[in-house]
Amino acid sequence: MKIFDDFAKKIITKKDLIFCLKEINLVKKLIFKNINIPLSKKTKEKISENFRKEIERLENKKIISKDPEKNLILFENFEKYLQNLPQIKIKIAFHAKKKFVNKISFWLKKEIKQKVILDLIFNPKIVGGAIIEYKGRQINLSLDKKIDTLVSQKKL
Amino acid sequence: MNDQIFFIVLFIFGSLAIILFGVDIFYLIKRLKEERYNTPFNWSKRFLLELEKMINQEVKKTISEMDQKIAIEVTEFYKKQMFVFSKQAKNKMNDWNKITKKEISKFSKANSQAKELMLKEAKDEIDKSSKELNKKIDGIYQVAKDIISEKIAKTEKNIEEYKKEKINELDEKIYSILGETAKKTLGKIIDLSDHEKLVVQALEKAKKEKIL
Repeated sequence: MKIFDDFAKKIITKKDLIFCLKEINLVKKLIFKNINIPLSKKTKEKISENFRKEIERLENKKIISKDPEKNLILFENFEKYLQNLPQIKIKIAFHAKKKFVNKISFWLKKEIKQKVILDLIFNPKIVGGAIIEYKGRQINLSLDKKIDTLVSQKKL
Repeated sequence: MNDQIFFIVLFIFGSLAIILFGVDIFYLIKRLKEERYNTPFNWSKRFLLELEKMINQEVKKTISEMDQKIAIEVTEFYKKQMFVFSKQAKNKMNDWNKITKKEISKFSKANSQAKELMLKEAKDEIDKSSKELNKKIDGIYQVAKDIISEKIAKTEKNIEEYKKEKINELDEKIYSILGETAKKTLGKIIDLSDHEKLVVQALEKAKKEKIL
């Protein structure tokens, strides 16, 4: 889905994804209203400015046409693309800042060579480290587990 | 007993002699009567009657004297015999007493011996029974001792196991508390940068483990 590639780059977390999918749904509803008015104008102040600008950019490139049917298919495809993006669930013991989230996202894209949606879950019980779940597989690398292991081995 | 028989025989012979004497007198009188009729002397009837009377008196007197004499003799003899018999009886009684005493002594001795024997046997039997009883008690004691020892060993083992179990439980509790304390402490002392480092390390490890 190269059309939305630049915009998709900004969708990093699951929260971003859900927000975007909601906006797509809204856009899909507006497609068939006042078909003579450009979509970027119809969506003004109804969706995020970033997304609206992206629509405007695509209108300028004639990717988004005046044909509402084609536009619907376009957004439906984008929706499917987003929904099919692989997700990585990471449980952490702190509230991650945007900078750190971006860092992880970058690292993941570099190492996995694929766009993934980060599902960061805050859980103070894990003390530190992370519990990572990806494509049905999970690894517990938390300090909570390490301490439990030391307790069970009486090495604490 | 022999004395009594002798006395009776003597009495019979005495009586027989008196009877024979009477008979002899009777025949003498009869002969005198016959001779009176045949004698050339004619005795007066009165004289003969007087003679007969006199003879009868004499005979009676003699018989009476004989009777008395015999009675005295018999009485004397009887007394003598009775004395002898009494003496013998007394001797016999003394002998009997002696014998009786001796027998009683013998019996007493035998009784005593029997008693001692019985006591000895009873004692032996008691000793034997006592030994057997002791043997049985020893056996029972040994069995009971073994059972008790086994029970004690089992109980000690159970106590030991229980102690180990409780110590383990306590250890686990202590370690659990230690763990929880460590978690709380670490949760507080780890700063944001450490958290981030740990997450990056976790991601790198996940990559190594081919989770990613």
